[in-house]
Amino acid sequence: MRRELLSFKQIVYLLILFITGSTIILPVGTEAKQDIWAAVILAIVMTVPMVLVYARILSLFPERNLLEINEQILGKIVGRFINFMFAFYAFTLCALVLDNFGQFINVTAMPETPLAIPMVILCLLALWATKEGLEVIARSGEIYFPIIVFAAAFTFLFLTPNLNIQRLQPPLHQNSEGIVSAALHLFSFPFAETVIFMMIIYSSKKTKAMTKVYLAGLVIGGAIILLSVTSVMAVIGPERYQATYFPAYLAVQTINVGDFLQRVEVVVFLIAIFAGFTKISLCFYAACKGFSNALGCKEYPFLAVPLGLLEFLFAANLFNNTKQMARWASEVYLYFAFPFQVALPLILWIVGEVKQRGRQGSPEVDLHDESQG
Amino acid sequence: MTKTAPAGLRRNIRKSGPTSTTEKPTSAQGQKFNCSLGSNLKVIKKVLQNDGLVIYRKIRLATTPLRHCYVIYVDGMVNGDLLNENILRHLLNYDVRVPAQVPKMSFSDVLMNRVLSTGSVQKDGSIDSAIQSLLYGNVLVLVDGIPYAFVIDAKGWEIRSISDPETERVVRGPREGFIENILTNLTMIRRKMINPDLKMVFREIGTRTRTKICIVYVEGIARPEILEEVYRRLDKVQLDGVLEPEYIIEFIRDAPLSLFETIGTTERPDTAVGKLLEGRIVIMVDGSPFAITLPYLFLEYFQANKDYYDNFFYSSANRLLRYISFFLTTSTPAIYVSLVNFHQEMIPTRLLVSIAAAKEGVPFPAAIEAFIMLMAFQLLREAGVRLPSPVGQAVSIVGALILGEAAVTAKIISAPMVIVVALTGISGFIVPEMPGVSFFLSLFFLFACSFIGFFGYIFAVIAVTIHITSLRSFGMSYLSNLTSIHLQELKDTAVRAPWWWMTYRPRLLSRDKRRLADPGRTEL
Repeated sequence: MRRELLSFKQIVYLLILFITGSTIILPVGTEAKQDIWAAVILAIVMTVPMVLVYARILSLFPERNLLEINEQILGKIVGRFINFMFAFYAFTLCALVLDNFGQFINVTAMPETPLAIPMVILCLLALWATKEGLEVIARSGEIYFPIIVFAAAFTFLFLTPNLNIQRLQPPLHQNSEGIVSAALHLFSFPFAETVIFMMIIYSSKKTKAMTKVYLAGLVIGGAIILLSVTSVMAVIGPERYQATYFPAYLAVQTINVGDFLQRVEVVVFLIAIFAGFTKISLCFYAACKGFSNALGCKEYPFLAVPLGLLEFLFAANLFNNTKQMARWASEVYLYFAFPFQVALPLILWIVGEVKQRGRQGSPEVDLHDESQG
Repeated sequence: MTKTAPAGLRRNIRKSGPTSTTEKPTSAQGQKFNCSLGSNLKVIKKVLQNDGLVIYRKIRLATTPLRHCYVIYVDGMVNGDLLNENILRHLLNYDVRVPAQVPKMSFSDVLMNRVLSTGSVQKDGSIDSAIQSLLYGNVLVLVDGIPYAFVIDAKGWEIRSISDPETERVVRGPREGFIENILTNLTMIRRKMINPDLKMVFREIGTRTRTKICIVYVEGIARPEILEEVYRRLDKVQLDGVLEPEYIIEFIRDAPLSLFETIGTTERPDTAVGKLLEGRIVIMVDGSPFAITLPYLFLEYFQANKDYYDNFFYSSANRLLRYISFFLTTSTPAIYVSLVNFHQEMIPTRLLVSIAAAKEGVPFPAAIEAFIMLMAFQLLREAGVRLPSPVGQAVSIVGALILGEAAVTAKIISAPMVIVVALTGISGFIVPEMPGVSFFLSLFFLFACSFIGFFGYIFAVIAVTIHITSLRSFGMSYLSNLTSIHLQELKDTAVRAPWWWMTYRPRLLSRDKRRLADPGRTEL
């Protein structure tokens, strides 16, 4: 099988795009109200150990991604079953993000266009990108990244006159429950979703790089989220933040520079689609890889077309309306994602450590394993 | 020895004679010259029958025993002076009976060394290849009793003089351009790089035209893997005729169905040498003033050779201008249509009012309007290119009047649309190497936008990005310099850095990466 090698920088960019992907358009951490910044920071802090576990698992088995590691340490049958579960998670996540963007476009810009149109186009594009391979997704990410940074910087600059620091007050006032709850939600969406990356990347000879890659992506992506949600909160305040489906859109609507540059929200969120698309195609790629592994196939591209069409149908029928989507995100997703984001990685980590210890004890086994790989 | 041998051979020829008439006339494949002048001549004449340009000149040589020889050449393709002075005259005058200074010399050696006084004389035993070289403008000398032909290089035909390259004019920089003759073109390259590392490898392509091509590269800079790949792909080309590099390009390029070119062409020797110095490979094709350069990356659309001859601030500004105009030429109609049709709220109110006033009475929706005008612009451009220049001017005046003024007054097209299409067209001329790409892209974007506005535009951009990132040119990623934020690479991509600062060649392209021995400028 042809190995697709990504550079350090490419993975970090992909992580940042993945984390910011659909997060910047959705109302995340509503429970924390004006203390949303604290919730984001807490969520990042909570994610760090988890991310270290992900990186550690990959580092324990160099040149292997999660799917191959599962197969190696859990045996063929159990490993493939777990891989199937992970693939299903990636598949679901992809459908959720697709649905988010479909709803977003439908609600904000084109209420008369059927929801399915943008979704099917995004789905076909993700399918195509997946067929072309991970390098194409990564290189597209390299193109999108500077555009997004540029747009975000300008948006923030233009938003500064509308920032009202009073909307963030009183800080940390009898709100610890809300902060923790919001942080938990933020942990599961988007930060710990980076577990998907384990299915895609693998550590090369330099084992430490994995930790660095994951931490760099998490911290930079987290900082962007922190900046964006805090400024959105400071512009529209906690009540409107809670009341709307797409608060950032509402915040950007207030931009008005000299009565000339106004109502630019469409342009801003067009650029958010770049990040969303990267997230969709990465999830879809991971799903293709996972399912092909679960089916015992070496190659994945043949799965792209049938799985892509299935993905579209799944996403289109996932929710009846935006309210349902928001409820699912706030009440169910946390528990749905928990096994994939926390439980399974922890188990894998422990099993992996034990197995690797055993291997180091007996060099013959080590040699044997090397020849297999 | 000369008297006995021919008889048997003559019989052989006679035996093969009737069979060869049933085959195609050019059936000298694999045949060798023999010692009989008559039979050799017969074979050649049979192959070249009905070719009125070939001239056979019979000469009696002053030898004992008496021998005849034939001088054969193609009229108009040889240098007359050379033929008369150095070949015919010496053959007629030289008395071989006069004892040679070196008595052990055989007769053919005497001819080669003392009679035929031209730069290149070669012996050729195969009739087929001798005829090849005859048709390429060489002179053949056949002598009785010698089982091979002397091939004398006396090429000299009329060629166009070197002139300003039409397609890549510059204000400052060398004024010479390639011409149709491959040898002249190669000397132009050679004169710019006086270095034994500059290699030129000849090939022949085209089963019928047998066109000469030459692969030029600089050893030590060009990457051997790319060179090997070029040879491998050239070996697979099965064409019967090559008249222009495009014939070969379409065979050897990556992604043959892509809109984006993955192999470049240039008409300028200085550009060709510049690309050679970056580690690229240049292929010259006989009969065309365009050289192939490869690998070709997306960025090269935006790198004009004049960038390197002008002040670097000015060049950098120009380069940025080219990026902007690429964006404008592909996206202006699409953005205008989505603004007017879908996102009116983004247009400042006063502007919106004036656009609405201009659109009043126009029967078409904005997307159709834009499509009509883009097509009309392409028609005008194409008409202008084909026609001789005085007529071309008339076309442009008529086009400007009718498409601009009259169409607006007649309320067929709204005035802002004329501005939009004019902007699209003018920006398209700033990146002249990609007319096809930008036109198709603008249509594609327009199509996408006419249905779902800006979202269509962004989806189209994503599609183009996926396609363009999946492209490769001879193993190199098509965007390899664009997607990096290396300071070293930005020096010749986003801007054009001063020459003393561009320490390295393009990273992935070349083997010897260092361009300057000492980075920076020595203090004066």
